[in-house]
Amino acid sequence: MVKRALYQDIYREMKKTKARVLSIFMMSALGVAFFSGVRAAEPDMLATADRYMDTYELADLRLINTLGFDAEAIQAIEELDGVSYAEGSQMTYMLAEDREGQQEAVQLFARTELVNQMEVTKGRLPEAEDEVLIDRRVASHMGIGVGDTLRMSTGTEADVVDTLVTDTFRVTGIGNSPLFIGLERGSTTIGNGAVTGFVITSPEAFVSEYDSILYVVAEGTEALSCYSKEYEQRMADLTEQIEEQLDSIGNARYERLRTTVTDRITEGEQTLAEKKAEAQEQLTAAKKQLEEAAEKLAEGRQEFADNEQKLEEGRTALEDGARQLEEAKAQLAEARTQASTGEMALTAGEITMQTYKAQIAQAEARLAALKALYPSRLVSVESIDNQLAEAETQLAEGKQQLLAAQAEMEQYKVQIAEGKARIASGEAELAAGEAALIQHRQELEEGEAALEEGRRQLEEGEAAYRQGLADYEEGKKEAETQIAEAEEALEKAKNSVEKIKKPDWYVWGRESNTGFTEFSDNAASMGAIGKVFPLIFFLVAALVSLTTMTRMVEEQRTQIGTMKALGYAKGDIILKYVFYAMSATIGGSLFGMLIGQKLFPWVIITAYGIMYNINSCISMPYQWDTALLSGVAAVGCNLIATLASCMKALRAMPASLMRPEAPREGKRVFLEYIPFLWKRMSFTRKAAVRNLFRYKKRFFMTLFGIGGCMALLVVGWGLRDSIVHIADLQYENVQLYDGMLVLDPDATDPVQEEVLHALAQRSEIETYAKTYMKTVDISGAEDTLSGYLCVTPDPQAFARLTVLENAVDGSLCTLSDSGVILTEQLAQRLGVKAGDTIAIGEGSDRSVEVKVDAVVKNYIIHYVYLSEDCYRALYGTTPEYSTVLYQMEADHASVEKEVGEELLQLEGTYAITYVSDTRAQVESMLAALNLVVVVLIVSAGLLAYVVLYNLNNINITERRRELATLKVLGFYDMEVSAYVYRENIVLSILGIGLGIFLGKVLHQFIMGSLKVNQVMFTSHISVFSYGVSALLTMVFACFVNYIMYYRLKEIDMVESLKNVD
Amino acid sequence: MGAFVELEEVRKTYTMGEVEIHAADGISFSIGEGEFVVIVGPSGAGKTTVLNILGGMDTATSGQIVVAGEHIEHYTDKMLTKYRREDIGFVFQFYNLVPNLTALENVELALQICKHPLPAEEVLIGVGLEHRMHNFPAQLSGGEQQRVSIARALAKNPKLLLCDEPTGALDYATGKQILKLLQDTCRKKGMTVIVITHNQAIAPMADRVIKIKNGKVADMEVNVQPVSVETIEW
Repeated sequence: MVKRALYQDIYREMKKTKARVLSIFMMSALGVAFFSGVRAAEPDMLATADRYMDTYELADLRLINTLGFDAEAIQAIEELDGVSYAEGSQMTYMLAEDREGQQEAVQLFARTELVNQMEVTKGRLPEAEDEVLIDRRVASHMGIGVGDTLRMSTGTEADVVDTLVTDTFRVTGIGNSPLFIGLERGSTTIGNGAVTGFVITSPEAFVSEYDSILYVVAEGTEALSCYSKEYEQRMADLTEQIEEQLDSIGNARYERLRTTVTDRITEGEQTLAEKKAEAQEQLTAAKKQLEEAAEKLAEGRQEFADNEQKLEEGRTALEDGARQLEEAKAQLAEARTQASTGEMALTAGEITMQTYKAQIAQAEARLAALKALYPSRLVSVESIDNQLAEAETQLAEGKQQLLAAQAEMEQYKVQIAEGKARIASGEAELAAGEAALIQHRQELEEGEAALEEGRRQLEEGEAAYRQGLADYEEGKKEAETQIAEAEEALEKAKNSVEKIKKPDWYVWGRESNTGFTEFSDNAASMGAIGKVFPLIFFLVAALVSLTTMTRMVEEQRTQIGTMKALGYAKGDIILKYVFYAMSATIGGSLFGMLIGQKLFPWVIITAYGIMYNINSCISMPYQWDTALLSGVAAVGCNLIATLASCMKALRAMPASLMRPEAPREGKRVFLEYIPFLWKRMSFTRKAAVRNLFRYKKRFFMTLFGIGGCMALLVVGWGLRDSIVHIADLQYENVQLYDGMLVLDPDATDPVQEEVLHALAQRSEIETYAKTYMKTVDISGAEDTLSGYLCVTPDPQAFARLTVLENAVDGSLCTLSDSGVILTEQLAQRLGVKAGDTIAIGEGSDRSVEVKVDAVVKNYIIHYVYLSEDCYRALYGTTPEYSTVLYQMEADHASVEKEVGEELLQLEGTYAITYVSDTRAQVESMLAALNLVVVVLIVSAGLLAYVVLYNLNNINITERRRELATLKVLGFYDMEVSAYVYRENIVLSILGIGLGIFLGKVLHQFIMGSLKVNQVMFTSHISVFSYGVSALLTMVFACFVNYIMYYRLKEIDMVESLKNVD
Repeated sequence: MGAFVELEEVRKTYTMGEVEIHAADGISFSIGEGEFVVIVGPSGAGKTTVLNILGGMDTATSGQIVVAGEHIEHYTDKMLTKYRREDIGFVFQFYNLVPNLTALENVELALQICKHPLPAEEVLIGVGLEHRMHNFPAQLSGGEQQRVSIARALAKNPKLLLCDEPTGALDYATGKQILKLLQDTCRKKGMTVIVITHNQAIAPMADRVIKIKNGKVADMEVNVQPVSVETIEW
């Protein structure tokens, strides 16, 4: 028989009471969503990290071998059982410098093929040997991007090119590595000790032929969560197995290396000998050549001298020739003179002859005339005779003279002819002589030019010879040096062969990866929050929805009685309520599961994504265990409550069910027995107090509901406090300095002193202290953590900048010569306390042990403080104080950057870190947790609202008659509301009180189980948080009351006339 | 004697979908001050509607309602509330005491809100509960609870006392006692009392009997000689 009427009733009931169905639905949904969602956060965080590691193929194991890995060793390891893949790679630490000269320590890795894939966020992977991909942190820290260049230096004496093929790299990409999912990048021995980030090069960028690191991927671990016990176990097994094999692999490697090196030495020796011989040969040849050259040079010199001589002779001859020619010319001239004299004399002789001839003619004429006169004149024959005689004499004389002159003339003529002949021959001779002379001169000039050329050649020859000689000397020396070096190197190599030790192996799993473990710590923190917080949340939600169901059954007792009276079986009657409750609860739970398991983990993981670069792989599988647990619990609670109240109702006889339930007895409350108080209370207050205590179930329900929500709010705000407060505590109570000035390590002492002097001079700077800061690994009984080693030579000044307050008793600690002071969380995590011993190491070497003097309060980052004397005792040296901590005058805090910039202008200053920046960074990191807290607060607020609404609703429904009566009696709406509100307000206040207490306890519990490395939370909750939680609760209460006002207004007065049902 | 309460063509219509239900279909009557009135009629005749309208718990669809010279049909919600708290005393069939308050406190609950209340103790003594004042409703018998209910109504010193089946939940003897109390109150204090009941038998004790049937006044008669409750049997 189909009980259609019954189903119809169920359907109508649900339709009619949509609000109640919805409220149960919402309560279940909220409870389950929050419970399973927040609980799923931990496994989802781990799943996300696991997926990230799987996606980017993080190696399961990392092997380091002091001898490096050759191909055979890698193959041997790859062939081990349980190893699916092994890949060697290179790693080193370098100081990277950008164009502006900012220098940061980086960890340089060679790109790997299959393991440790990069998540390239910008650009691409390096391909050429001078390309790099840089860590996102390096990019942001140095302010560089794709296309910029980085210059690497070793930070030690060593040369970059010993390790890398080049020192200048171009950035081709930016990315994340699965090796570093967190912010931690580790420490190194170079730079300021802190590694800024990683840098990926192509494998070709490394010089070494052996891989320095070996990544191992284990077989069949893809499917396992890397945070699971099973994975850990498998890794432990594999590690053990590998370690067993390491000796033999290592020995083989050792032998190979030895052989290789020995072979190389032998080869080297051989080569050296060959080279030596070759060099000798070459030298000898060179020498010979030189000698020959010297000889030739000598010859040349001789020849040159001869030539010079000859030339000289030639010149002399030429000069003689010229002189002779000159003489000849002179003779010729003389001859010419003679000739012309002769001619002149001849002419003169002719003239004389003419004269003589004329005289003769005259004389003859006179004679003739005289003779003529004779006849005619016989005047003086005597006289004529005389005269005639005289003329005859004269004539004879003349004739004689003429004859003499004629002879003389003839003589002259001969002489002239002779002279002329001589002149002609002399002239010919002279011309020949001159031609010869010209030729000779030309020859001489040529000879001179040739000689000049010869001299140049000779000089050149000499220079060449000298150069050749110098070259020879140099070559010889060089060859000798090279040989010596080679010999030395060989010697060294020989020695080193002796020194090659059997390799030391280090096998590290993922647990040695700080980011990896830190993230699981964070997940565990979420787990800790998830342990209690959602439970309370769930309980409150379950309680309220259960109350709602119970109330419903109680309200419908008459109907139940009627059904029973009609003869319906118990099962049928129960069915209605069970169906009602279950459809709302199961629906709500499913809805809650589906939404909650996605929403809460998503928000939380995204929040953690601020600190961890895992957001690309968010994985939120349904965690069926928590989902089912909460779902079943929610459904179970309601089912049991519904069944219980149904059974209670059904046990009664139908008749008694039809009768109204006897009104609950009014009871006196304890306050009435204190007349002093009771009498002073107004009537309405008395009524409110009594009402409160009348319905104990409702009272406690409400109290617990409001208290629970208040507690959740307190925890939420408290978590926020504990988190936000850290920065305040750290930077206002512990680290009082405002800046950290790093001195240029290359600067000389006077320059550094100058900087300190400048600091002392500045009025804006209150105080300063030199310190030594270095990132080190600190090992204690339980753990090894990295932290800062902090040494100061000036404890008084240092104490003004860093407060060393004993964590146990709050007294101020001082540094001793024999021990160190640890910070609180470091001590806790290392599992040490004052009086214990810790080991301080850098990397894996240089570990020293020291006693812990005291543990001091500190909230962020781990520090080990020690005095200069203590450092000296430990390390045997005085540290190089390269850091100056300084504090600004309170009034000048706003100009710290300006002052800082001016300080950086000084020679010898290197960099300044402002605490305000660090603080902002810390705060932004903590913002991740803050966001989680916001989720908690919002959820708690939502719950508070739903709880209050529901409880009020129940309250009003329960008291409809009473309230209707009040209305009939003439109470104004406000008065009716006030009558109800008064109780609500009292309940809210009591609930808030309970919530404060509960919240504090819960908060303490959660803080106790929160673990975040390098950050120490306090279980401090500020008055503000209590206040704001209380205020929120009150606001919700008031809001609900406000909404209820309309519900109250709607109450029909006619209700008061009805029978009690 | 002028009418203290006067209803004129009062109609109350409920619209249920397409159906109009006339709970009161033109009821008219008037009552003099200090009268003891019994309104009788079978279930569903419209007595409660009349009571609700008269008591300011509901408004009429049309018609006039004058109480002590005031036209309450025009009253707003707030004025109606004021009217209820100052002018009306209400006695419920199921007493409607606040279970969490003692008898005295239940009375005080009403006094809190009115202008000229009577002292609670006096009123309770007046209804014969001098020894039960500090008891909670659950500790009182039905008759006693109804007495508290009456006391609560009287203490407000109302102009009009409306009683909805005051004996409906009581046994015969107790019912009689309550009616007696109501009658005495009317007589001694000159209070106008309207009792709504389906019990025809008590009609003779009233000064005026209004019979309602199908939302109309079927009959109204004035007893010149109302009898005492003791003489009535049913």
